[in-house]
Amino acid sequence: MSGGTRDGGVDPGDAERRHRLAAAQTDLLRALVLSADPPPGFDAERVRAQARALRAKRRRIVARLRPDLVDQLGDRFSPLFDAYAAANPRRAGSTTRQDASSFADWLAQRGEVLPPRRRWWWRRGR
Amino acid sequence: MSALPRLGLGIGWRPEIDLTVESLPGVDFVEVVAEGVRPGNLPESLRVLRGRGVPVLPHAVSLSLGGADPVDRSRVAHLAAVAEALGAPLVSDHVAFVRGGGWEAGHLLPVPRTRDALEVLVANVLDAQAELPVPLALENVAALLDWPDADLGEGEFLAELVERTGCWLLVDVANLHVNARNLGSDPLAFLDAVPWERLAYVHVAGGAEREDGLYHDTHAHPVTQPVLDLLAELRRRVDPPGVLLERDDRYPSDEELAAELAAIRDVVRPQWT
Repeated sequence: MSGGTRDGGVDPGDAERRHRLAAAQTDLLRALVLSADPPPGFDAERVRAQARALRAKRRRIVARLRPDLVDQLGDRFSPLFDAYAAANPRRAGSTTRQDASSFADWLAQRGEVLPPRRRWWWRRGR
Repeated sequence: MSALPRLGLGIGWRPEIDLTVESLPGVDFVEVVAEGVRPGNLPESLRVLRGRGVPVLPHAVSLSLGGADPVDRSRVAHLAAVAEALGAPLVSDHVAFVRGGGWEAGHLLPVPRTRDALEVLVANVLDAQAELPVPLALENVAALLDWPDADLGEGEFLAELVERTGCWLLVDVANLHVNARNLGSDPLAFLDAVPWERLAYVHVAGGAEREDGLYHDTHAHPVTQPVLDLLAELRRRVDPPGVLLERDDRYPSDEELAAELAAIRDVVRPQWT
């Protein structure tokens, strides 16, 4: 469906344009979620501000989905989440619920929170 | 290409304020984040509103129509199913991208205003429209950063998008204010460039300046006077079919929300009274 023209043919320019746009957008995304260098022409300070804003939004959503983690961690919630987020950028297509669950697993692996009860039950049952 | 319905005054429906939205006086329509709704299991509050004849418009945030990848048909199909479940007269998303290169940004990012990006956006919008049962409106986004080497101003970019796809516009005056503050763009040039006959409705929201010195589109603070002033500027150019208040966090009292709606109504009068 994509890349089609009105007469049903394939527009060869479409793939080239998408390729160029993908390269430009990926460079910006890498700067925003992987802390890579800002692409040429961008204001580095603004890229950092956008990266902080994205991380803050991600943190707010996970806090809303997992108030139990906010309660358990208290003041440590934000720094721990930011450390997790920096090391674990969201993969394309992943959901905010998966992000929250992945953060909980990350915390449990580090002993920052008690592991989910079901896992204890599962291990004892073996 | 037929005209869209007159919508009136609206507010963003959120699960946290569902009872407030149901009881606020003078709410003519609401909007719901499409990704948060299961078409086969609508929240009771939305069923109540639909039962009263209040239009509920699905507002999507994940189509990434400005992205380099072809449109994800399953996301468009979900939006279509939500629209049908709600009997919505139109749906919306943004002129933005939210993912690329294997990564998810988690928020709406501005697209480069280049010919290349416009061509890809047009193709994606045409693809999405082909799968949607109702008209699609697209919204201008708020930005903290700007792409270098723009070929077009934001208003011109949207005008050409409309001309080539037949899409409708959802003009967010708060986002215009954000971009004027952060990027130095001219909101009046935007208002002079867009095709008002294709206006679906208008968004109004609050924001705040943060410690980084930038103005953030928080949807968690009261609507500020400069945003209402831009709404008045818009009103001088067009009688908007609808205006909707977005509030997503730090919910104030019902009285404060009612007062914000009243302030918006005051700006767009007298046609609605």
